Amino acid sequence: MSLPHGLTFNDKKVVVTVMHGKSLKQLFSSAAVALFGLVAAGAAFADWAIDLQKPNSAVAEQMYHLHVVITLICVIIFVLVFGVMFYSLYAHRKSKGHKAANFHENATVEVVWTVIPFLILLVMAWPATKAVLDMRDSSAPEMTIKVTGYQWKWGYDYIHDGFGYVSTLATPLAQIQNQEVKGANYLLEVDNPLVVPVGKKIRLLITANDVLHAWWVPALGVKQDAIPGFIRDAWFRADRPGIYRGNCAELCGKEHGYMPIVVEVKTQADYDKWLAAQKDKYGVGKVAAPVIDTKTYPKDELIALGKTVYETAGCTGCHGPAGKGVPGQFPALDGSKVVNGAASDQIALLLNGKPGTAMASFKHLSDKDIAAVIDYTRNAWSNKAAESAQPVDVAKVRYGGKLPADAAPSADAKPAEMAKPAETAKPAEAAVPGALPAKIYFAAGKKDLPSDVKVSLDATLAFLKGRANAKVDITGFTDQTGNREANLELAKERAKAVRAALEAAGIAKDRINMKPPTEITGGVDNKEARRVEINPA
Amino acid sequence: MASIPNDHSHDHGHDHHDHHPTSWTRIFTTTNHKDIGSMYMWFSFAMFISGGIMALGIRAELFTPGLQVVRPELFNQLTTLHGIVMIFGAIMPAFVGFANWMLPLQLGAPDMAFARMNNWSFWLLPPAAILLIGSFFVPGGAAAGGWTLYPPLSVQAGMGMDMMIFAVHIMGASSIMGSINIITTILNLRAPGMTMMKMPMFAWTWLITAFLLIATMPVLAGAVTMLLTDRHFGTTFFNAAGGGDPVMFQHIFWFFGHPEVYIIALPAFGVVSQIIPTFSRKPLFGYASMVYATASIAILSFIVWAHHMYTTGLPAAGQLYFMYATMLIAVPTACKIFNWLATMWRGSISLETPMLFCLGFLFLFTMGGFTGLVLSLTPVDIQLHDTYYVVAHFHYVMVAGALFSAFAAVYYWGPKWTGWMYEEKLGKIHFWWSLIAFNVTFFPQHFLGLAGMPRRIPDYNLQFENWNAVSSVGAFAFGFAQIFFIVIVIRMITGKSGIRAAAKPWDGAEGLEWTVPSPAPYHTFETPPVVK
Repeated sequence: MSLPHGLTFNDKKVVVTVMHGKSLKQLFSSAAVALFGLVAAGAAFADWAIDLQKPNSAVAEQMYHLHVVITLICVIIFVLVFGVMFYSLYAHRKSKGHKAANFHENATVEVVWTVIPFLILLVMAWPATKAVLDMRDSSAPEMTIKVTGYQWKWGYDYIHDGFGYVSTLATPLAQIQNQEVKGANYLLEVDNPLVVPVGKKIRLLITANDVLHAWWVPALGVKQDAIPGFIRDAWFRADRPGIYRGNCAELCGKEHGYMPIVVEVKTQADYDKWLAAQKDKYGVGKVAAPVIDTKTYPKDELIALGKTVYETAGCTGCHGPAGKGVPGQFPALDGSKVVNGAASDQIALLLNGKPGTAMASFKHLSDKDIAAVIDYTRNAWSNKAAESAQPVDVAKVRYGGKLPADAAPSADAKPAEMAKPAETAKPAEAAVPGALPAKIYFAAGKKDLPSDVKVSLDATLAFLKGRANAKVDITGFTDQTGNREANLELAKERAKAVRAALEAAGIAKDRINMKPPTEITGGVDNKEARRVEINPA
Repeated sequence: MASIPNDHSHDHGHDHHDHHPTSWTRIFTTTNHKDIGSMYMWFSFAMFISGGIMALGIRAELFTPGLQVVRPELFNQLTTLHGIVMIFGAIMPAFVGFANWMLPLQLGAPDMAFARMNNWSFWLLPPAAILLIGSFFVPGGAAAGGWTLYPPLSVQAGMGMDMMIFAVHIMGASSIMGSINIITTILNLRAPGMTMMKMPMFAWTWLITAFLLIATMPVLAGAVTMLLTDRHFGTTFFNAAGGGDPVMFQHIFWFFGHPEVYIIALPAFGVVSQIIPTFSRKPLFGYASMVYATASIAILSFIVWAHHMYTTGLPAAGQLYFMYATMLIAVPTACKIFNWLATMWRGSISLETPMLFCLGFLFLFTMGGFTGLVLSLTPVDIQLHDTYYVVAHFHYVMVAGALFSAFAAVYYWGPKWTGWMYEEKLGKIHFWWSLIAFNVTFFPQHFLGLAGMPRRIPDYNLQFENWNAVSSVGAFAFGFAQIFFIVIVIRMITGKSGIRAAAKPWDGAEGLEWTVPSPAPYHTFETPPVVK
């Protein structure tokens, strides 16, 4: 039932001259085009686009063709039915002396025009059903990413690679307020796009933190509501590398129009490079001490930085550029008790958020950014707070009142970077030998330890010996073949075998956690999927 | 003319029964179906203008990218209130007004069955309207979560949301009372000899609509009450943290919401089924099948609600079921369109303003129906859900379906209400002006939705600029056309056309309403007529 691309409106060119700028002339040309040129416009002129975006996945392709077919059917029926009506209006006019007939029922035609629409619907239902089944078949994904909607940003967690980040609107406020020329990707640009490899089946686990959102990228054919407290899934397999843009599609409050989605589809090689860089950036698999910025910065420098943070990290969404908030909905910062009170309270509020309100946690920001935005709010507008904050104050609150004992104080902290989730400082251990995570690969269907297990066991032993309080998680996995129940059992047995080996090597039972996997399989291929992972707990 | 026991004891000359209270308190105390019908219509028009101003605020902001006219928070309040005010304040009361005026006249009844309840069901509406409009001025402003009130967003909102919830309660109570009144009137007060299958189509469609209202309004009241207790009394119906489910609200809401679409459309179908035969000078084609089609649309409307929720992540089986059920609605709807067409076929057609508006209705409603069919296909809906395509779709159905037929009704029955003809030329200008402006406004919105513009956003990417500008220009033109409309109506009321309306101003019209003089006397059918 699918049509070749050429049959669509897609390729027609526009005959109308398009004028930019908002002159009165353009208004007339707009109205004129609307009246006379509707069908003439085409996707070639993005500004007068009339069709669905060019699909970039098999599912989106099906959606596209279904839409073309059903639209054509509707247009044909419309022309036929209204052709009859206009003929009747023309021919059967009183002013032309037409005398009214007096029939008022005819069982045959009534049956015919009931049955024909029914048959047309049957014909349409077939490809539509096929498309639905494809669209919902999220089984056997090659990669899984968790997507979380926040008011008003998106969080992406690469759950099998151990890192995640937040993606926020990158369009400057000045463009929105018409003080600067708007860029081509106005409101469709973000700081950290979602990056995926081309041609891989990507499964998204979609949820929300506060209210409903919807993750929508037209070219990939995915629109799925993000529902707080529930996880829904969706999937796509991008056909071509490129950058694809979409929006939040479910009203989520004031800044609903300002939480775009950008997906960057890379070739596998580029993706691998990116992935390695990210793992490096987020310190995945590395055991490094958190870098605590203990330097004292001049107040002016922090305030200047804080203004940028305030305008880009999402603060203005609720509290407004002038700190006035929205009466009754979002508190004003100008004159606020929190902002003018104890700095530690404000730090805690920013790090933890306020449950039950739109105030989310901003702990993904660096200590310096948080200190800066706090100092900014404390000195902006009419605020003249007595206390101020330094990055080290933020670090103290972040680590529960005092700096971690093994932290590596660095007087020479990194230069300020905007909203860089890199410093999602996970209190890790001091640099001692023993690199975890370790992976132990098993033979197909087997739970016996492989011969090369010693390397991983030694790494684990070294890790645990260097840290008196550390524990490890042991998680078993299997490949995709075989039935699920049996695989679950097998994964558990493999993990148990590793635990037994560790215990035999003298590790106390309470330092080993058995952690069931979130997804039983994974990895690039079956060989890699059959494994036990040992991670720092 | 014989009189039923009432307060007029003196002779009233020829057949002029114009004896009614003259004090200004009449508007509060009247139990006369004609007074109440007129009040419903004026209320409806006032709400129509209020909702229209909100729509123009929206279109002004969307004329060009960037924020110019309203802030995003006010924008969301405007879209929310525009929806609620137009549906509950403008469209529904307009058709209740027509029902009040015309059902007793069409059925040969002296008044509505419960005259005092009729007064009460009208007077519930102004307080609801005050709550809605007044909510713009409270801290936090009006409700801004969309007219669908989806939690958790609606739980987050300020007191404007509570005012909206109470307004919905009140308007729901009003609708239920109105429905009871209409059902009782239709079932019990028909003139002798008027069997059910001899009733005018308008009565049939209203009878079915009234049952829909009684079935769904309590559901909506339940949903908003749960919202209220979630907001203030610690319940967690829609909060996963307490064992609830935000999506459950959507199921309950759309179990009301989808029949609501037909609550709006069916009386409009009734109006059109009266007017097309009149101006085709030929009886309605397939009367019986029209009745059955109306009833089947009403029944189907209860089993398709989740087609508004394809993107919530229904199971595949659920998506398929709701897709098939939704597609099925096209069948009876198509039957209705074909019936109207067959009514015109080989008639003796003339194109007065009411007929023009009915043809406009047919044209636009069919387009809205087709886009509805496009949207019924789950995979296509995934792309188009919550985009401007949907906005275009339901405005084609609602504005064309309800508003155009309401205009048709005013031009068609207005002479009966006022005793004067409207000015035909002005009526035609109003029609063409509205038709063109409507299409300039809403047709480009299909393109915006297809190209990827979500609904309910105050600002957008530059690629959507041109069609939005076109749409905004159309919207203002459409708005001004309705100012022109009220001028026409006032000129009709004051007799500016200089042509008095005959008892039966349309030569092809059928029905009891045309047997009483124009304007219809204050009391009619005190003795029931006999229908052979």
